[in-house]
Amino acid sequence: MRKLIVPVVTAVAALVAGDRLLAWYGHRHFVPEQQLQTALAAGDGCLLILGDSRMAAGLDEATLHDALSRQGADRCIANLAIGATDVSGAFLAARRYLSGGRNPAVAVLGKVDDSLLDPDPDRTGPRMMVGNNALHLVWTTPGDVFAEVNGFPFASVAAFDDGFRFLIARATGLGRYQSLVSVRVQHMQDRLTGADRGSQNRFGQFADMAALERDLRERAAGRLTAATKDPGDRTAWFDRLVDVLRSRGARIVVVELPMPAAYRRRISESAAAVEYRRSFTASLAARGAAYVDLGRASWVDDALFADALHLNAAGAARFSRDLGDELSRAAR
Amino acid sequence: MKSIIQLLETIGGARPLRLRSPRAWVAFGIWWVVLFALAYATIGRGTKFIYVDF
Repeated sequence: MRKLIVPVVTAVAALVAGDRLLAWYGHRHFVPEQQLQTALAAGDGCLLILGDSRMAAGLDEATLHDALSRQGADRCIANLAIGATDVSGAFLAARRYLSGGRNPAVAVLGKVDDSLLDPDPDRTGPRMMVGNNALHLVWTTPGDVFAEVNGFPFASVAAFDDGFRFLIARATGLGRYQSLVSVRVQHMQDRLTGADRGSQNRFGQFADMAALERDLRERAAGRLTAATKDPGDRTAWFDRLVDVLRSRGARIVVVELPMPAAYRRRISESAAAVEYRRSFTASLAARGAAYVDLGRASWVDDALFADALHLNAAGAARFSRDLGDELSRAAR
Repeated sequence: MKSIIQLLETIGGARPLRLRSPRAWVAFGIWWVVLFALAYATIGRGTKFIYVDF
C-alpha cells in the first residue's frame, strides 16, 4: 500500500502541472478574453457594445465611427458582442469590463425580440458552459452560483448537482477550458475521418444557423406571450446588467436588431412581440435607458443577411450607419 | 506472442503489476495521467459547438 504513494503523488503533481499549463494556454487563447483585452485597451469613455453574434455581425466599426464623426460624436468602441451568448453572458462581459477599471460613456445592447429575457432553464447550467459560454466559468466568482443555478442549493437535487458541478468546473483550468480541448479534438477527429463540415461562414455551418433560427423562432412565441402576461418576470439578468452599468454612470441604449423576413413575419410582427416591445420600451424609459428600433428599418432585406441570423458586410454597414446616426442624435 | 498477452493482461488488470524500482512506480503514476488525459480529451467529442471562437 505504501508503494502506491509514489504513483499517486506523481499523478497528482502531473495533473496540477497540466492544470496550470491549460489555464495559462486557455487564458491566452480564449477569444472572449482576447476580445475583452482589446476592449479594455480601447480606453475610457467608450461605446460599450454588448450582445450576441447578431450584434457582432451587425457591427461595422469603421462605418460606425464615420457616422458618429459626421455628428461630432465619435468615441472609442469597446466591442464585447460575443457569439453564442445570451443576456447572462452580456452581464458577465459588462461586469468583467467594468472591473477592469473602464467606465463606458454609453452601453449599446443588441436585442432581438425576446433575447433579453432570462434564458430558458434547459439553456442554463454547467452543461451549457462550453465554447464561448465558458465565460460563465472564466468570468464568474463562486458567489455567482446562486445566480447561475436557480434554486441552488436546496430547492432540488438537480439544483444542488448543477451548482456543485458549476463550482467544481470553474475552480480549475481543466474545468474552465475543457471545451477548448474538445473543440481542438473535434477538429482533429474531422480531419482524421475526412468528415465534411458543410458550407459555413465565420459564424459556423449554414445548417447550424438555420437550425438555431428555427429553435429561436419556436421558443420566442411562447416566451413573448409569457412575458406580456407578467412583464417583470424573467428579467433577472437584464436587471443585473442595467444595475451594474448604471452604477458606473453609463447611458444605456437598447437597439433592436434586424432579422430575415421569415422570422420577422412570424415573430417580430406578432401581437405578443408588439405588446412586449411596447411594455419593454416603457420600462426602459422609466429606468432612464433608450430604445432604438432598427429591426424594421426601410433597408432591411434578406439580401443583406449572410445566413438565417446574421447580417452580411453590406447589412452591417447599413446597420452601423443608422446606429451611429441614432447614437449621435441621442448624445445631443 | 506469450509476452504480448501477458503485457495486455497486466495493462487490463488481470495480472498483478510487479514494480520494483521507484522509477517504475513513477511511470505507473504517469500512466494514470495518460489515461486521465485520454478520457479528458475525448469527453466532449460529441458536444455541439455552433458558434465558438477558440
